[in-house]
Amino acid sequence: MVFQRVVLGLTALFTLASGANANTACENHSNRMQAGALYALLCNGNCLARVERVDIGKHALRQNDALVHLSRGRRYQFLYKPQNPVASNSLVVVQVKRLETSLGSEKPVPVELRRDAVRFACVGRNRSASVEAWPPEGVSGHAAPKIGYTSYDRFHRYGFTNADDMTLLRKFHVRYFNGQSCVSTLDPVRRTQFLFHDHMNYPSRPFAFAARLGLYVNEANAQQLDAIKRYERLRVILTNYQQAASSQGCFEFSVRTGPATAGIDLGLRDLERASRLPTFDTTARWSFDVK
Amino acid sequence: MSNEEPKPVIPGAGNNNWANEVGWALNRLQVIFRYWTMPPDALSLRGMSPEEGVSARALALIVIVALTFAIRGEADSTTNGAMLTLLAGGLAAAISVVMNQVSSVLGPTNRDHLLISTYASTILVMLIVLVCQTFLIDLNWYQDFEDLVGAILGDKRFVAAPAILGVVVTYVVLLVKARFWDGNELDLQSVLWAFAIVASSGVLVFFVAFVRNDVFRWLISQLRPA
Repeated sequence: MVFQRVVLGLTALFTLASGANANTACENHSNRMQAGALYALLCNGNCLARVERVDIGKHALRQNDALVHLSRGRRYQFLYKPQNPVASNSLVVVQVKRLETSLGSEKPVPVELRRDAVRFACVGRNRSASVEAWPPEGVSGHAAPKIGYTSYDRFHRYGFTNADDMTLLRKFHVRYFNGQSCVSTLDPVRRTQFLFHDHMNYPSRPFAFAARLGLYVNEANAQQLDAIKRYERLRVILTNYQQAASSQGCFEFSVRTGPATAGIDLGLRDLERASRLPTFDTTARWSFDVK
Repeated sequence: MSNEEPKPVIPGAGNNNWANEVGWALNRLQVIFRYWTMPPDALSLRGMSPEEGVSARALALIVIVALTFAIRGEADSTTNGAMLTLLAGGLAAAISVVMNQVSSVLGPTNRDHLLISTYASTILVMLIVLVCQTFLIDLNWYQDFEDLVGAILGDKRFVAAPAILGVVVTYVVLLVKARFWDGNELDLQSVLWAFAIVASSGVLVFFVAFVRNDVFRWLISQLRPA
């Protein structure tokens, strides 16, 4: 009896602890955050720095009335609360593009994949199923699953790629409850939000089917592809938020700068907002110099 | 009067060459459709010329090769082209060996018919897999079905679910076609044989979609002389 109580107590404690870890920074700071603005947590206390524009297309952190740039070799935790969310639950694609001091390469680097745990996934008829983070927490960025850029782009533009990568990408994508119905990140509008370049340019299903048979090719914007070749590291984080949760729709993600990082470009796409405005580019962008 | 020798006539040459090719392909597709039926002894091959039978099988094989590339998601692949052609060739060889064994049980005269019928089933299962992965992949009922398959097969569900759906749809259409289009009498044995043939097509398609490229590269490296 005593043993049972101890086990139950420990289980409850563990559950509380893991739940608290899920969105701690957001829960602590969302009251002080303005919707539609990006923040960075610079220490474990009350060091919430708002991201502000300093130049055309360039951003920095406002800390104690001073604007500071990101530093090399550091991990930053960013927090964001969407403005006027269109759905009570949504998934958000965060694209992290890291620019190094070297001159880039002939072809884009592979894309690292990471998906946060989802507490409103659809599995069968269950609309509040839990899907664990993938890869599991603690796996470093270098050890995270990677997909060649061309393969990543083809899957998200056409809906298919080579059989090996397709299995990996199918594990990454999820089905979730947006507050009204179960939707999949694989439907064409949501799927193309994962694209790094020319994401509004994708074929309809019949043309995608023709492409799979080798009968059709949809040329994406070559200039935008060239811009992607500049980056030394490309990373996609699939995170999420719930309006009704104690974090008030806030979500967080972390970005690490390397010893040779010269800049970080961030892009956010809210899948529910994008699905309701399929002809508009809903990407929120920030660009940081790293000193 | 001219002393020039008459030029040799090349069949199919001329302005309507393209139309002839389409006509030829349609004719062979018709043959494939006609012989996609059950029971295996329902149709005699006597009505079909040997050349028609051979070319129908050849066309079916070409379609299977093309669909193998599509299933692997490498229809435009140049790097893995040789490997995939080998895979498709292996698939055709596997079908041929299995059908030889089956025809030795059912009667040697059925071999050609069985081959055409199995090729047709394989093509349909492959097409249905492609349709599932393009048109149904984000639908809730389809993903529920994938989850159901995943409870047994785990991550293999992504290729197993469309292959299972392909087998079921192909089998039902084959039953309906044989009974109502061809007007054949179906007994339990022929129904079971047909299921075995369609299911084996499904297993082969699953194999084509599931096996990793590394495995084929390893196989090819083993085949090379030291």
